[in-house]
Amino acid sequence: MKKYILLLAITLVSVHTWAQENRTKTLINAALHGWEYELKAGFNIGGTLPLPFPEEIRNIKSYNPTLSITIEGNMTKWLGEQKRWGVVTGLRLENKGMRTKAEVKNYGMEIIGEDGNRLKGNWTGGVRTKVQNSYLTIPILAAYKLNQRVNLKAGAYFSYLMDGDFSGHVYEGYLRKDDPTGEKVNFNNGAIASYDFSSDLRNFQWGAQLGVDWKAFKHLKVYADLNWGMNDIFNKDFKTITFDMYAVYLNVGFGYAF
Amino acid sequence: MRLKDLLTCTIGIFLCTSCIKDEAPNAEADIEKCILPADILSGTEIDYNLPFDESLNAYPIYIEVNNGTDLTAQAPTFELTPGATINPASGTTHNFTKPVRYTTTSEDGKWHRTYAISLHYPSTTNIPTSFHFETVKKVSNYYVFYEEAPGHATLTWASGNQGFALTGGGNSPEEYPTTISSEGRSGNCLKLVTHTTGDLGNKVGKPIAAGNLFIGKFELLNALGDALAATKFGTTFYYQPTKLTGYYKYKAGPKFYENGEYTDRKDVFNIYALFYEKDDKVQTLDGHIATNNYEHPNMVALAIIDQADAVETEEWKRFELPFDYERFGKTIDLEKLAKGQYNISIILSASKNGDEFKGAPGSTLLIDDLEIEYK
Repeated sequence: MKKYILLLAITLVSVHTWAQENRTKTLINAALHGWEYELKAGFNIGGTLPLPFPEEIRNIKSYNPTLSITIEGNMTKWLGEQKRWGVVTGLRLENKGMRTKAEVKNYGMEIIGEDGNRLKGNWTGGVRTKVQNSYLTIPILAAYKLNQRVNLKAGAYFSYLMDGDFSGHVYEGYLRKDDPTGEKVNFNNGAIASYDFSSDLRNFQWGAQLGVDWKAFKHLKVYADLNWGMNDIFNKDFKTITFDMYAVYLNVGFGYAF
Repeated sequence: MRLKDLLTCTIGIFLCTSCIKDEAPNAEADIEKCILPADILSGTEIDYNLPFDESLNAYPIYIEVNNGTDLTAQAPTFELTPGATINPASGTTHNFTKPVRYTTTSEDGKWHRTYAISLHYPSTTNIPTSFHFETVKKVSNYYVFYEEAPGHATLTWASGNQGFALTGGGNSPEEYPTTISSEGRSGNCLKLVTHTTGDLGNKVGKPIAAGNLFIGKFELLNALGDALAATKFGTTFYYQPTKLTGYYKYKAGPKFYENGEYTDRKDVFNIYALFYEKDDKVQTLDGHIATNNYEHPNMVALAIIDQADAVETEEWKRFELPFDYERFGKTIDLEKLAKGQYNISIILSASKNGDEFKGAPGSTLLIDDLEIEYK
């Protein structure tokens, strides 16, 4: 991910230089035809979570959004005489991450080892989860110019998973083997069972995007985009986690408008 | 203004869908405690977590009561998983000359557990003193050894098989670390094999399972948190043991596994026996005894194979291990001995350091015709 960010940063700087040199000519010309270009940098705050929360989840003990950086280049084509409506598309490199500690009760699970050995049962206790996924995302949005400073945007995004990590461990609790009346095994004194479902993550993600930006200065914008995942982050045949999980993140940051 | 509305709206949606739901009713249905008048209980700890017993078709609970207690009319009361119910009801009077069956129902009504509760007097008969490993019963998917002899209390041997079952390995009883073999000196014998526990065993930090057999109890409940405490060694013995004898065959596994990697170390097996006194505080010794170099204030005698004699052999090799009383400097109180206040345990393992999850997968120890000599 780091190298992508670096790449984009270099692009940003060179585009910036180019922009300054040619702004008067090219950009004004483009703007007259309804085109606008923007570079955005920000971070994602949110969660990869089941929606709605299943009753098995009893408590979220800690939550850390981690530093999930996003960087995006996009273009808007404003339509019609008034140029109030437009369409936006672009390319976004983003991390969606979080770390949580949750308490669950009677959570039905089946862990399948790499060698095919299975452990099925109901877990009551702590679950620590770490999610750190990198996506290449294409948003396709409709834009509405509320006034000279504020734009509203709504549409869809399509993401490709470049690198995924979904792992963690269960701790401080107990397992009932097979079902809630099965043999009981305590996990205490630091006993944990780790899990790693990274390879079960779905490669393609899509969702709804809803956003607003506010032009603070001539070139500087502040923006907030809500990205609401519409498909389960895991592959269809993945059954260990019995409920679907969705990536819901608020992306906030600054934009540079040319 | 609109911007604010939009944000309020989205945050609102987010909060609504991701709030913690009301707690579901409990799905468990355990007897957590069975209460009887204190003056009839012998004081021996009650185990509520015994594995399902197929011959009883129930989860057994054994309660030791004092001699002379009227078994025909007892009315135990129960503490259950919150919200669970029990039938017949808590506090009703039953005849406990035979096990009494109770069925619990979870708070959510979906789950049941059937218990067979037995009241029994303290055993005054000794366990058999020679063991031929001819008889097993199948529990879950593995074998449990037992030894019967006329005039003796039946001895059911314990092993870590129940823990191995959790890791998902062992498709048949023969693939478990503790199993039976037909290659005995005569008839069957005990076969202990050290296994890897696969991916799941690794994930809980228990990468190998040494074949093991011991007199005592394996408590699955604590097998992950404190594995050494999960092996409770000992049963009452009314004599003074002098020697542990028997026959073995041994082949060490090719590669030794410890601390996450294979090493050149050679695996060895272990055979030892403990004789110790019980008191108000100490009813059993557990797996920590070996890592503490067999030292414990309650120890009376130890019989252990000399590592120089614990060699690989393809022929049956006899061993004779005298009980060493001198090391602990205690005299036997014959009155206490007659009252059953001493315990004995024999512990057999295909990998000596298997209790710390170190050993060579494939190490195989066969044992037959084990005998405790006594006076």
